[in-house]
Amino acid sequence: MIRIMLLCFLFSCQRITSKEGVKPIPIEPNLKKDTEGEMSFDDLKKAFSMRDKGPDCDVLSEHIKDFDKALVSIVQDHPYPPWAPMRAANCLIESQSPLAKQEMLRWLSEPNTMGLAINLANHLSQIESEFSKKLIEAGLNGPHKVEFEKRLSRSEDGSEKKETISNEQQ
Amino acid sequence: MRILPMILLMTACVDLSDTGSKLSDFKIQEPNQPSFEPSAEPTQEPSAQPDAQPDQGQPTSEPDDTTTPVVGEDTGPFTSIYREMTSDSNAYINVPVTFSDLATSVLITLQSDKRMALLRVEDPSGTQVFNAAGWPDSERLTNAIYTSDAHDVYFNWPIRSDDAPLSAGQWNFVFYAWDDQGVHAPNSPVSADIQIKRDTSYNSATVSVKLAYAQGIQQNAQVVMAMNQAISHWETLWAQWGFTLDLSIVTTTIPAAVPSPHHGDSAYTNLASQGDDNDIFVIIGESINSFGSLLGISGGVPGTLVPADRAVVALSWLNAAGVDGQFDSIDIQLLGETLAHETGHYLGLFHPVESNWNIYDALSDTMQCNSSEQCTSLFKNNLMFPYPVCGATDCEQQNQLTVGQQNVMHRYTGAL
Repeated sequence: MIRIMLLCFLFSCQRITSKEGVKPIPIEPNLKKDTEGEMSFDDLKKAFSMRDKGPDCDVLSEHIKDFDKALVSIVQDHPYPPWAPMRAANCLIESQSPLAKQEMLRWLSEPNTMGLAINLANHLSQIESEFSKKLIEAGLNGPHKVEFEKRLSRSEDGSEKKETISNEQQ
Repeated sequence: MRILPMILLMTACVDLSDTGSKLSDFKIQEPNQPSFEPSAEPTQEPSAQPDAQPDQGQPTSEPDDTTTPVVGEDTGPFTSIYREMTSDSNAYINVPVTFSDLATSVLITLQSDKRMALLRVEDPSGTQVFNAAGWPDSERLTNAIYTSDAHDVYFNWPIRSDDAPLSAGQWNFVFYAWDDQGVHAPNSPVSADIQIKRDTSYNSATVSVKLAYAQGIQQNAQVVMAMNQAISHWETLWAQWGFTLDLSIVTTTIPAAVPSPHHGDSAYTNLASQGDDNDIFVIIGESINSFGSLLGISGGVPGTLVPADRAVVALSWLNAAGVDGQFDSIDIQLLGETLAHETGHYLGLFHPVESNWNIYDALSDTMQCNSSEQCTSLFKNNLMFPYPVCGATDCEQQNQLTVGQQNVMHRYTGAL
């Protein structure tokens, strides 16, 4: 009997430190929570334009029809503020859809996309292996070769893949 | 005879269950005080998963009043005092500070291996001039009422012109400590830095800034040139509100992908050790390691002036340059505004409205709005609006602050 009572006491005490029902962090607004229904293209642009925080690509994608197409449009046609297209590019890197892959190869081959090329080099570890090799090859043969190569050298994964590609080419 | 104690124990058991039930509502209650809900510090960056939160066990009694007060000696316009303390047997950290009638602002920085948050501020008459209990989540005044992943807390007082000004005598700043599991953390070592400003001029101030380029970035001439132009714009913006920047460059070996100061990093404690105790550090990285893609982030609202894991404002030059990796005149305008915006956070400013349009700063002259259109129309030119308003070829200048916002910046202890 005494043991049962003690167990009851201990069980109740344990509830004091239970993590059940912890109040959510009062972080800046979460789009998933605050956005209902479809977002307009303008809202998407605003989400990418915040000075402090970056968006959650998965959350955004739930609210935008043809998300990847919208991202490509922001990257290609909406240069201001400059971090907005960079963030849209990061969502394309996360997506790795056929359209995103086509767009990534463009960043490594056109002359006015050095920022995108550097950013892509910094994110190669997030990209599936076969396609990242293709990107490295394109980067090392494209107009942003110098900056691209610098970032590859900083990354262990990038250096290894670069070496493999060089060996294959020989 | 053995049954009676067990019945009492059972009664206690029921009481504690009730307490547990209250805890699930996260009402921390000090005796005879309104409820209070400390949680993790609001962030400028979203996190995929909320970090482990304290369970916010209830403070159970009043803090010990045995701590010897810190006496702020009247030795010039600025004093830094360091003290090693411990949380008391009930997990309170009482920081008593005795001010002279010359003191105008105080910045308290607590560092520990525990989570800490501010509970209340008491003036020399014992009146509570600020109590975190019941402070609404929809109004932001200081992040000191939330716990930080970096196990530190930064608190500046006064914050606004309508807050109780410092007066001669002993003030008590009462904090509380939890461990990472949310359990009270009594008798835990805490290091306390107390910095006192004696500067009655709220119209002019000098802010000392140390700028650090992360590894390899200072060798990038176009980034350095753009930064110089952006700093010049920042100086112009702040000058209209009476601020002079005293800026110098320091070196660092922090890698180009800099850590996020939101979570804190010992690299920033090391970096800030290079400065004086009134310096604000700004680091320019190529990118900021974090979830999402950060342009800039302040290590606190407010930030600290002493070496600490969040003692920095971090900016990504690559995100500021954009798609082409080059800076045009609009990029430089925006970079200057971003420097001024992020350091504005460091001096204690929140966004006048957050982008869900229902969380506001605690200032009376930043009008409330509740839609994107309304808020953009009101604040598109305000430096602290969450985003710049841009068209295809240019962006609105964000070069305005309300008087209330200027007053917050001038009350920051590092604005001398």
